[in-house]
Amino acid sequence: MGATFINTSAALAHSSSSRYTKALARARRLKELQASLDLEHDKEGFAMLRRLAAFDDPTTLHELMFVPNIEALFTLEQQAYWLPRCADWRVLGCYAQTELGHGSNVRALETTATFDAKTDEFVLTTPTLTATKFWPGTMGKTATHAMVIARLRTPSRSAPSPGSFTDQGVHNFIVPLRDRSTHALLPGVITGDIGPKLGFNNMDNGFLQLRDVRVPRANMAARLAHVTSNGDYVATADPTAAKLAGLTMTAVRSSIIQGAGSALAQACTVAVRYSVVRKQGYTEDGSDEHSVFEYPTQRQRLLPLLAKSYCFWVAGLAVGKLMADTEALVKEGARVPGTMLAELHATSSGLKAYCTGVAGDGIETCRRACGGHGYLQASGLPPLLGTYLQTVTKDTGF
Amino acid sequence: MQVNTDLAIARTRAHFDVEVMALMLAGGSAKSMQRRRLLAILDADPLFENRLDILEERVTRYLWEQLSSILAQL
Repeated sequence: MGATFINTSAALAHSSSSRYTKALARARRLKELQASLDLEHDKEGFAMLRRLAAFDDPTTLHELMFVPNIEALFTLEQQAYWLPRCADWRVLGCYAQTELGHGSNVRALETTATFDAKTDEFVLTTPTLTATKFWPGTMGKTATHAMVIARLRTPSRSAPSPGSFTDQGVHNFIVPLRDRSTHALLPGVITGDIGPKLGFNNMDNGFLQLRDVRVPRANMAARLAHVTSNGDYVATADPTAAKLAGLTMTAVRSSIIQGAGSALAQACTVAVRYSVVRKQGYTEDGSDEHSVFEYPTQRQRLLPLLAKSYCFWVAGLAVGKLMADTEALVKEGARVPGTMLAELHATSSGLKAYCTGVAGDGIETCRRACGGHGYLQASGLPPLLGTYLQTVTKDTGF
Repeated sequence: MQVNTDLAIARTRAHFDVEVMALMLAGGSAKSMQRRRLLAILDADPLFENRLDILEERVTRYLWEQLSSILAQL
Protein backbone atom coordinates (compact mmCIF):
# COMPACT_ATOMS: atom_id res chain seq x y z
CA MET A 1 0.00 0.00 0.00
CA GLY A 2 1.65 3.23 -1.14
CA ALA A 3 -0.30 5.89 0.71
CA THR A 4 0.33 5.79 4.45
CA PHE A 5 -2.93 7.54 5.30
CA ILE A 6 -4.98 4.64 4.01
CA ASN A 7 -2.76 1.99 5.59
CA THR A 8 -5.06 0.40 8.16
CA SER A 9 -2.68 -2.19 9.59
CA ALA A 10 -1.90 -0.11 12.70
CA ALA A 11 -5.54 0.79 13.25
CA LEU A 12 -6.42 -2.89 13.40
CA ALA A 13 -4.25 -3.31 16.47
CA HIS A 14 -5.38 -0.08 18.14
CA SER A 15 -6.50 -0.44 21.74
CA SER A 16 -5.86 -4.17 21.86
CA SER A 17 -3.28 -3.63 24.59
CA SER A 18 -5.70 -2.20 27.15
CA ARG A 19 -8.28 -4.87 26.40
CA TYR A 20 -5.65 -7.56 26.89
CA THR A 21 -4.53 -5.99 30.18
CA LYS A 22 -8.09 -5.90 31.46
CA ALA A 23 -8.67 -9.49 30.41
CA LEU A 24 -5.53 -10.53 32.31
CA ALA A 25 -6.82 -8.71 35.42
CA ARG A 26 -10.08 -10.60 35.12
CA ALA A 27 -8.27 -13.90 34.67
CA ARG A 28 -6.27 -13.19 37.82
CA ARG A 29 -9.44 -12.35 39.75
CA LEU A 30 -10.97 -15.68 38.69
CA LYS A 31 -7.85 -17.41 39.95
CA GLU A 32 -8.22 -15.62 43.30
CA LEU A 33 -11.89 -16.58 43.44
CA GLN A 34 -10.95 -20.19 42.70
CA ALA A 35 -8.96 -20.20 45.94
CA SER A 36 -11.31 -18.13 48.08
CA LEU A 37 -14.41 -20.10 46.99
CA ASP A 38 -12.68 -23.43 47.53
CA LEU A 39 -12.98 -24.43 43.86
CA GLU A 40 -9.42 -25.72 43.53
CA HIS A 41 -10.60 -29.33 43.55
CA ASP A 42 -13.97 -28.62 41.97
CA LYS A 43 -13.15 -28.55 38.26
CA GLU A 44 -16.78 -28.30 37.21
CA GLY A 45 -17.39 -25.42 39.60
CA PHE A 46 -14.37 -23.50 38.33
CA ALA A 47 -15.40 -24.18 34.73
CA MET A 48 -18.83 -22.79 35.59
CA LEU A 49 -17.26 -19.66 37.10
CA ARG A 50 -15.19 -19.10 33.96
CA ARG A 51 -18.23 -19.63 31.74
CA LEU A 52 -20.31 -17.16 33.76
CA ALA A 53 -17.54 -14.55 33.68
CA ALA A 54 -17.91 -14.71 29.88
CA PHE A 55 -14.86 -12.88 28.56
CA ASP A 56 -12.01 -13.78 26.20
CA ASP A 57 -9.61 -15.12 28.80
CA PRO A 58 -6.00 -15.08 27.53
CA THR A 59 -5.09 -17.88 29.95
CA THR A 60 -7.77 -20.25 28.63
CA LEU A 61 -5.45 -22.75 26.96
CA HIS A 62 -3.61 -23.35 30.23
CA GLU A 63 -6.67 -24.99 31.82
CA LEU A 64 -8.18 -26.27 28.59
CA MET A 65 -5.23 -28.05 27.00
CA PHE A 66 -1.88 -27.64 28.77
CA VAL A 67 -2.82 -29.07 32.18
CA PRO A 68 -5.06 -31.87 30.81
CA ASN A 69 -2.19 -32.96 28.57
CA ILE A 70 0.13 -33.26 31.55
CA GLU A 71 -2.53 -35.21 33.45
CA ALA A 72 -3.08 -37.59 30.53
CA LEU A 73 0.34 -38.09 28.97
CA PHE A 74 2.95 -37.51 31.66
CA THR A 75 4.00 -40.02 34.33
CA LEU A 76 2.94 -39.56 37.95
CA GLU A 77 6.48 -38.49 38.80
CA GLN A 78 6.41 -35.84 36.06
CA GLN A 79 2.96 -34.72 37.17
CA ALA A 80 4.22 -34.30 40.73
CA TYR A 81 6.74 -31.79 39.40
CA TRP A 82 4.60 -29.88 36.91
CA LEU A 83 1.05 -29.80 38.30
CA PRO A 84 1.76 -27.78 41.50
CA ARG A 85 3.59 -25.22 39.36
CA CYS A 86 0.64 -25.09 36.96
CA ALA A 87 -1.82 -24.69 39.83
CA ASP A 88 -0.30 -21.44 41.10
CA TRP A 89 0.69 -20.14 37.65
CA ARG A 90 4.43 -20.41 38.20
CA VAL A 91 4.03 -22.28 34.93
CA LEU A 92 1.39 -20.95 32.54
CA GLY A 93 1.11 -23.06 29.45
CA CYS A 94 -0.24 -23.18 25.92
CA TYR A 95 -0.64 -26.00 23.40
CA ALA A 96 1.47 -25.82 20.25
CA GLN A 97 0.35 -28.37 17.68
CA THR A 98 -0.86 -26.63 14.51
CA GLU A 99 1.79 -25.47 12.07
CA LEU A 100 1.55 -23.21 9.04
CA GLY A 101 1.83 -26.24 6.77
CA HIS A 102 -0.18 -28.79 8.76
CA GLY A 103 -2.95 -28.76 11.34
CA SER A 104 -4.97 -31.78 12.27
CA ASN A 105 -2.80 -34.12 10.19
CA VAL A 106 -0.52 -34.61 13.16
CA ARG A 107 1.59 -37.26 11.44
CA ALA A 108 2.85 -34.69 8.95
CA LEU A 109 4.05 -32.11 11.49
CA GLU A 110 7.57 -30.87 10.72
CA THR A 111 8.86 -29.62 14.07
CA THR A 112 11.57 -31.95 15.37
CA ALA A 113 12.86 -32.92 18.81
CA THR A 114 16.24 -34.60 18.39
CA PHE A 115 17.76 -36.43 21.33
CA ASP A 116 21.34 -35.47 22.22
CA ALA A 117 22.76 -38.26 24.38
CA LYS A 118 25.85 -36.19 25.24
CA THR A 119 23.85 -33.63 27.18
CA ASP A 120 20.75 -35.76 27.94
CA GLU A 121 18.57 -33.17 26.24
CA PHE A 122 16.15 -32.82 23.36
CA VAL A 123 16.94 -30.17 20.74
CA LEU A 124 13.75 -28.66 19.33
CA THR A 125 13.71 -27.00 15.94
CA THR A 126 11.18 -25.72 13.44
CA PRO A 127 13.28 -26.50 10.36
CA THR A 128 11.15 -24.77 7.71
CA LEU A 129 8.81 -21.81 7.43
CA THR A 130 5.85 -24.19 7.18
CA ALA A 131 6.95 -25.81 10.46
CA THR A 132 6.18 -22.54 12.28
CA LYS A 133 3.62 -23.18 14.99
CA PHE A 134 0.68 -20.95 14.18
CA TRP A 135 -2.56 -20.16 16.04
CA PRO A 136 -1.89 -21.51 19.55
CA GLY A 137 -3.93 -19.43 21.98
CA THR A 138 -2.20 -17.99 25.10
CA MET A 139 1.15 -18.20 23.27
CA GLY A 140 1.62 -14.74 21.75
CA LYS A 141 2.12 -12.82 25.00
CA THR A 142 1.00 -14.81 28.02
CA ALA A 143 2.44 -18.30 28.32
CA THR A 144 5.68 -19.14 30.08
CA HIS A 145 5.74 -22.65 28.61
CA ALA A 146 4.38 -24.48 25.57
CA MET A 147 3.32 -28.07 25.10
CA VAL A 148 5.08 -28.54 21.77
CA ILE A 149 4.03 -31.43 19.57
CA ALA A 150 7.13 -32.50 17.62
CA ARG A 151 8.62 -35.44 15.75
CA LEU A 152 10.93 -37.32 18.08
CA ARG A 153 14.27 -38.30 16.52
CA THR A 154 16.56 -40.71 18.33
CA PRO A 155 20.04 -41.89 17.29
CA SER A 156 19.67 -44.55 14.65
CA ARG A 157 20.71 -48.05 15.77
CA SER A 158 20.54 -49.62 12.33
CA ALA A 159 22.89 -47.09 10.70
CA PRO A 160 24.86 -45.59 13.58
CA SER A 161 26.68 -42.97 11.59
CA PRO A 162 26.86 -39.45 13.05
CA GLY A 163 23.78 -37.46 12.20
CA SER A 164 21.68 -40.52 11.47
CA PHE A 165 18.39 -40.59 13.34
CA THR A 166 15.24 -42.66 13.54
CA ASP A 167 11.89 -40.86 13.38
CA GLN A 168 9.79 -42.13 16.32
CA GLY A 169 6.67 -40.15 15.41
CA VAL A 170 5.10 -37.18 17.19
CA HIS A 171 5.39 -36.72 20.95
CA ASN A 172 4.69 -33.98 23.47
CA PHE A 173 7.43 -31.81 24.97
CA ILE A 174 7.22 -29.02 27.54
CA VAL A 175 9.31 -26.14 26.24
CA PRO A 176 9.99 -22.98 28.30
CA LEU A 177 9.29 -19.88 26.21
CA ARG A 178 9.83 -16.96 28.53
CA ASP A 179 12.02 -16.07 31.50
CA ARG A 180 10.02 -16.54 34.70
CA SER A 181 11.36 -13.33 36.26
CA THR A 182 11.39 -10.93 33.33
CA HIS A 183 8.98 -12.66 30.90
CA ALA A 184 11.58 -12.02 28.17
CA LEU A 185 11.86 -14.61 25.41
CA LEU A 186 14.43 -17.32 26.05
CA PRO A 187 17.31 -17.90 23.59
CA GLY A 188 16.21 -19.63 20.39
CA VAL A 189 12.53 -18.85 20.97
CA ILE A 190 10.83 -16.59 18.42
CA THR A 191 7.20 -15.98 19.21
CA GLY A 192 4.57 -13.26 19.18
CA ASP A 193 0.94 -12.45 18.55
CA ILE A 194 -0.37 -13.28 15.06
CA GLY A 195 -2.45 -10.10 15.06
CA PRO A 196 -6.07 -9.00 15.26
CA LYS A 197 -8.79 -11.42 14.23
CA LEU A 198 -12.47 -11.11 13.41
CA GLY A 199 -13.14 -11.37 17.15
CA PHE A 200 -11.79 -13.04 20.29
CA ASN A 201 -9.07 -10.41 20.37
CA ASN A 202 -8.15 -10.65 24.03
CA MET A 203 -6.76 -14.06 23.19
CA ASP A 204 -3.14 -13.83 22.11
CA ASN A 205 -3.06 -16.46 19.39
CA GLY A 206 0.59 -16.78 18.52
CA PHE A 207 3.30 -18.08 16.22
CA LEU A 208 6.41 -19.93 17.31
CA GLN A 209 9.73 -20.76 15.74
CA LEU A 210 12.33 -22.73 17.67
CA ARG A 211 16.04 -22.51 16.85
CA ASP A 212 17.82 -25.42 18.53
CA VAL A 213 16.08 -24.94 21.85
CA ARG A 214 17.30 -27.47 24.40
CA VAL A 215 15.07 -29.02 27.07
CA PRO A 216 15.91 -31.77 29.60
CA ARG A 217 14.95 -35.37 28.77
CA ALA A 218 12.41 -35.21 31.60
CA ASN A 219 10.36 -32.65 29.62
CA MET A 220 9.07 -35.29 27.19
CA ALA A 221 5.68 -36.83 28.00
CA ALA A 222 6.75 -40.28 29.18
CA ARG A 223 3.57 -42.12 30.06
CA LEU A 224 3.21 -43.82 26.68
CA ALA A 225 6.87 -43.86 25.63
CA HIS A 226 10.21 -42.62 26.88
CA VAL A 227 13.80 -42.25 25.75
CA THR A 228 16.60 -43.73 27.85
CA SER A 229 19.75 -41.76 28.65
CA ASN A 230 21.64 -43.59 25.89
CA GLY A 231 18.97 -42.70 23.33
CA ASP A 232 16.91 -45.90 23.15
CA TYR A 233 13.21 -45.42 22.46
CA VAL A 234 10.96 -47.48 24.76
CA ALA A 235 7.22 -47.70 24.15
CA THR A 236 5.22 -48.36 27.31
CA ALA A 237 2.45 -50.94 27.05
CA ASP A 238 -0.19 -48.91 28.84
CA PRO A 239 -3.47 -49.06 26.90
CA THR A 240 -5.24 -47.28 29.77
CA ALA A 241 -3.06 -44.22 29.34
CA ALA A 242 -3.63 -44.23 25.58
CA LYS A 243 -7.39 -44.33 26.06
CA LEU A 244 -7.30 -41.58 28.71
CA ALA A 245 -5.29 -39.39 26.35
CA GLY A 246 -7.99 -39.73 23.71
CA LEU A 247 -10.70 -38.98 26.27
CA THR A 248 -9.03 -35.67 27.17
CA MET A 249 -9.74 -34.46 23.65
CA THR A 250 -13.32 -35.71 23.91
CA ALA A 251 -13.82 -33.68 27.08
CA VAL A 252 -12.87 -30.55 25.17
CA ARG A 253 -15.35 -31.42 22.44
CA SER A 254 -18.19 -31.96 24.92
CA SER A 255 -17.58 -28.50 26.39
CA ILE A 256 -17.61 -27.05 22.86
CA ILE A 257 -20.99 -28.70 22.15
CA GLN A 258 -22.46 -27.29 25.38
CA GLY A 259 -20.88 -23.93 24.59
CA ALA A 260 -22.65 -23.88 21.21
CA GLY A 261 -25.96 -24.09 23.07
CA SER A 262 -24.89 -21.36 25.46
CA ALA A 263 -23.75 -18.93 22.74
CA LEU A 264 -26.84 -19.54 20.62
CA ALA A 265 -29.05 -19.07 23.69
CA GLN A 266 -27.44 -15.68 24.37
CA ALA A 267 -28.16 -14.54 20.82
CA CYS A 268 -31.73 -15.89 20.93
CA THR A 269 -32.37 -14.16 24.25
CA VAL A 270 -31.38 -10.79 22.78
CA ALA A 271 -33.30 -11.33 19.53
CA VAL A 272 -36.48 -12.72 21.13
CA ARG A 273 -36.64 -9.98 23.77
CA TYR A 274 -36.06 -7.36 21.13
CA SER A 275 -38.75 -8.87 18.90
CA VAL A 276 -41.29 -8.83 21.72
CA VAL A 277 -40.65 -5.17 22.53
CA ARG A 278 -40.10 -3.79 19.03
CA LYS A 279 -43.28 -2.64 17.26
CA GLN A 280 -43.81 -2.74 13.52
CA GLY A 281 -47.14 -2.14 11.71
CA TYR A 282 -50.69 -1.63 12.98
CA THR A 283 -53.51 -4.03 13.66
CA GLU A 284 -56.31 -4.06 11.11
CA ASP A 285 -58.46 -1.59 13.04
CA GLY A 286 -55.43 0.61 13.63
CA SER A 287 -55.93 0.62 17.38
CA ASP A 288 -52.63 -1.02 18.30
CA GLU A 289 -49.21 -1.87 16.91
CA HIS A 290 -47.94 -5.38 16.27
CA SER A 291 -44.78 -6.52 18.03
CA VAL A 292 -42.26 -7.91 15.57
CA PHE A 293 -42.51 -11.25 17.33
CA GLU A 294 -46.13 -11.61 16.22
CA TYR A 295 -45.02 -11.99 12.62
CA PRO A 296 -44.74 -15.67 11.60
CA THR A 297 -41.58 -15.03 9.58
CA GLN A 298 -39.81 -13.66 12.67
CA ARG A 299 -40.92 -16.65 14.74
CA GLN A 300 -39.90 -19.01 11.97
CA ARG A 301 -36.42 -17.55 12.07
CA LEU A 302 -35.96 -17.44 15.83
CA LEU A 303 -37.90 -20.24 17.48
CA PRO A 304 -36.12 -23.19 15.78
CA LEU A 305 -32.82 -21.63 16.87
CA LEU A 306 -34.10 -21.20 20.41
CA ALA A 307 -35.13 -24.87 20.46
CA LYS A 308 -31.74 -25.91 19.11
CA SER A 309 -29.94 -23.95 21.83
CA TYR A 310 -31.65 -26.15 24.43
CA CYS A 311 -30.89 -29.28 22.39
CA PHE A 312 -27.20 -28.43 22.08
CA TRP A 313 -26.87 -27.73 25.79
CA VAL A 314 -28.51 -31.05 26.69
CA ALA A 315 -26.48 -32.89 24.01
CA GLY A 316 -23.29 -31.45 25.53
CA LEU A 317 -24.37 -32.68 28.96
CA ALA A 318 -25.11 -36.14 27.51
CA VAL A 319 -21.74 -36.40 25.76
CA GLY A 320 -20.04 -35.22 28.97
CA LYS A 321 -21.82 -37.95 30.95
CA LEU A 322 -20.96 -40.63 28.39
CA MET A 323 -17.36 -39.48 28.55
CA ALA A 324 -17.31 -39.51 32.37
CA ASP A 325 -18.79 -43.04 32.44
CA THR A 326 -16.22 -44.27 29.92
CA GLU A 327 -13.38 -42.58 31.80
CA ALA A 328 -14.49 -44.24 35.05
CA LEU A 329 -14.45 -47.65 33.36
CA VAL A 330 -11.00 -47.05 31.91
CA LYS A 331 -9.61 -45.91 35.28
CA GLU A 332 -11.09 -48.98 36.99
CA GLY A 333 -9.22 -51.11 34.50
CA ALA A 334 -12.50 -52.55 33.25
CA ARG A 335 -12.75 -53.75 29.68
CA VAL A 336 -14.09 -50.90 27.58
CA PRO A 337 -15.58 -52.10 24.29
CA GLY A 338 -13.91 -50.59 21.26
CA THR A 339 -17.33 -49.71 19.92
CA MET A 340 -18.00 -47.54 23.00
CA LEU A 341 -14.85 -45.50 22.41
CA ALA A 342 -15.56 -45.31 18.68
CA GLU A 343 -19.12 -44.14 19.30
CA LEU A 344 -17.93 -41.54 21.79
CA HIS A 345 -15.35 -40.26 19.32
CA ALA A 346 -17.75 -40.20 16.36
CA THR A 347 -20.64 -38.68 18.32
CA SER A 348 -18.58 -35.93 19.91
CA SER A 349 -16.79 -35.11 16.62
CA GLY A 350 -20.00 -35.01 14.59
CA LEU A 351 -21.88 -32.98 17.17
CA LYS A 352 -19.00 -30.54 17.51
CA ALA A 353 -19.01 -29.81 13.77
CA TYR A 354 -22.81 -29.65 13.50
CA CYS A 355 -23.60 -27.65 16.66
CA THR A 356 -20.92 -25.01 16.17
CA GLY A 357 -21.93 -24.54 12.52
CA VAL A 358 -25.58 -24.06 13.40
CA ALA A 359 -24.72 -21.78 16.33
CA GLY A 360 -22.43 -19.59 14.20
CA ASP A 361 -25.04 -19.19 11.46
CA GLY A 362 -27.79 -18.84 14.08
CA ILE A 363 -26.11 -15.93 15.87
CA GLU A 364 -25.93 -14.10 12.53
CA THR A 365 -29.62 -14.86 11.92
CA CYS A 366 -30.43 -13.43 15.37
CA ARG A 367 -28.36 -10.35 14.58
CA ARG A 368 -30.25 -9.75 11.36
CA ALA A 369 -33.55 -10.37 13.15
CA CYS A 370 -32.82 -7.28 15.24
CA GLY A 371 -32.67 -5.02 12.19
CA GLY A 372 -30.32 -2.05 12.46
CA HIS A 373 -29.90 -2.48 16.21
CA GLY A 374 -28.23 -5.83 15.58
CA TYR A 375 -25.42 -4.00 13.81
CA LEU A 376 -24.70 -1.98 16.96
CA GLN A 377 -21.96 -3.31 19.21
CA ALA A 378 -24.09 -2.40 22.24
CA SER A 379 -26.64 -5.05 21.22
CA GLY A 380 -24.01 -7.59 22.18
CA LEU A 381 -24.55 -9.53 18.96
CA PRO A 382 -21.58 -8.35 16.80
CA PRO A 383 -18.99 -9.11 19.52
CA LEU A 384 -20.72 -12.42 20.29
CA LEU A 385 -20.63 -13.37 16.60
CA GLY A 386 -17.00 -12.33 16.16
CA THR A 387 -15.94 -14.21 19.26
CA TYR A 388 -18.00 -17.29 18.54
CA LEU A 389 -16.92 -17.77 14.92
CA GLN A 390 -13.49 -18.94 16.07
CA THR A 391 -15.17 -21.94 17.69
CA VAL A 392 -16.71 -22.96 14.38
CA THR A 393 -13.33 -23.31 12.71
CA LYS A 394 -11.06 -24.36 15.58
CA ASP A 395 -10.24 -27.85 16.74
CA THR A 396 -11.86 -29.62 13.83
CA GLY A 397 -9.14 -32.19 13.82
CA PHE A 398 -9.50 -33.82 17.21
CA MET B 1 -34.55 -3.48 37.18
CA GLN B 2 -37.68 -2.28 35.46
CA VAL B 3 -38.96 -4.83 32.95
CA ASN B 4 -40.63 -3.73 29.75
CA THR B 5 -44.41 -4.31 29.96
CA ASP B 6 -44.56 -6.33 26.74
CA LEU B 7 -41.76 -8.54 27.94
CA ALA B 8 -43.44 -9.09 31.31
CA ILE B 9 -46.69 -10.09 29.58
CA ALA B 10 -44.86 -12.46 27.23
CA ARG B 11 -43.19 -14.13 30.20
CA THR B 12 -46.52 -14.84 31.90
CA ARG B 13 -47.52 -16.88 28.85
CA ALA B 14 -44.83 -19.55 29.39
CA HIS B 15 -46.23 -23.06 28.98
CA PHE B 16 -43.68 -24.69 31.24
CA ASP B 17 -42.25 -24.15 34.71
CA VAL B 18 -39.24 -21.90 34.17
CA GLU B 19 -37.73 -22.88 37.53
CA VAL B 20 -37.91 -26.60 36.74
CA MET B 21 -36.33 -25.98 33.36
CA ALA B 22 -33.54 -23.94 34.98
CA LEU B 23 -32.82 -26.76 37.44
CA MET B 24 -32.69 -29.31 34.62
CA LEU B 25 -30.36 -27.25 32.46
CA ALA B 26 -28.02 -26.57 35.37
CA GLY B 27 -27.85 -30.28 36.17
CA GLY B 28 -29.82 -30.28 39.43
CA SER B 29 -30.62 -28.03 42.37
CA ALA B 30 -27.13 -28.07 43.88
CA LYS B 31 -25.53 -26.93 40.64
CA SER B 32 -28.28 -24.41 40.07
CA MET B 33 -27.63 -22.89 43.51
CA GLN B 34 -23.89 -22.88 42.88
CA ARG B 35 -24.48 -21.17 39.52
CA ARG B 36 -26.58 -18.43 41.13
CA ARG B 37 -24.07 -17.93 43.93
CA LEU B 38 -21.16 -17.58 41.49
CA LEU B 39 -23.14 -15.28 39.21
CA ALA B 40 -23.99 -13.02 42.16
CA ILE B 41 -20.30 -12.77 43.07
CA LEU B 42 -19.33 -11.82 39.51
CA ASP B 43 -22.23 -9.36 39.21
CA ALA B 44 -21.06 -7.56 42.33
CA ASP B 45 -17.46 -7.25 41.10
CA PRO B 46 -16.81 -4.05 39.10
CA LEU B 47 -13.97 -5.76 37.24
CA PHE B 48 -16.53 -7.91 35.44
CA GLU B 49 -18.77 -5.01 34.45
CA ASN B 50 -18.71 -5.31 30.68
CA ARG B 51 -21.13 -2.59 29.71
CA LEU B 52 -18.26 -0.30 28.72
CA ASP B 53 -16.02 -2.90 27.11
CA ILE B 54 -17.05 -1.91 23.60
CA LEU B 55 -16.09 1.71 24.29
CA GLU B 56 -12.67 0.83 25.68
CA GLU B 57 -9.99 3.37 24.83
CA ARG B 58 -12.45 5.87 23.48
CA VAL B 59 -13.12 9.41 24.51
CA THR B 60 -16.73 8.42 25.04
CA ARG B 61 -15.73 6.21 27.93
CA TYR B 62 -13.87 9.09 29.56
CA LEU B 63 -16.84 11.38 29.18
CA TRP B 64 -19.20 8.69 30.46
CA GLU B 65 -17.17 8.24 33.62
CA GLN B 66 -16.91 11.99 34.13
CA LEU B 67 -20.67 12.21 33.86
CA SER B 68 -21.11 9.30 36.26
CA SER B 69 -18.92 10.97 38.89
CA ILE B 70 -20.80 14.27 38.52
CA LEU B 71 -24.13 12.50 38.88
CA ALA B 72 -22.82 10.64 41.92
CA GLN B 73 -22.06 13.95 43.63
CA LEU B 74 -25.53 15.37 43.06
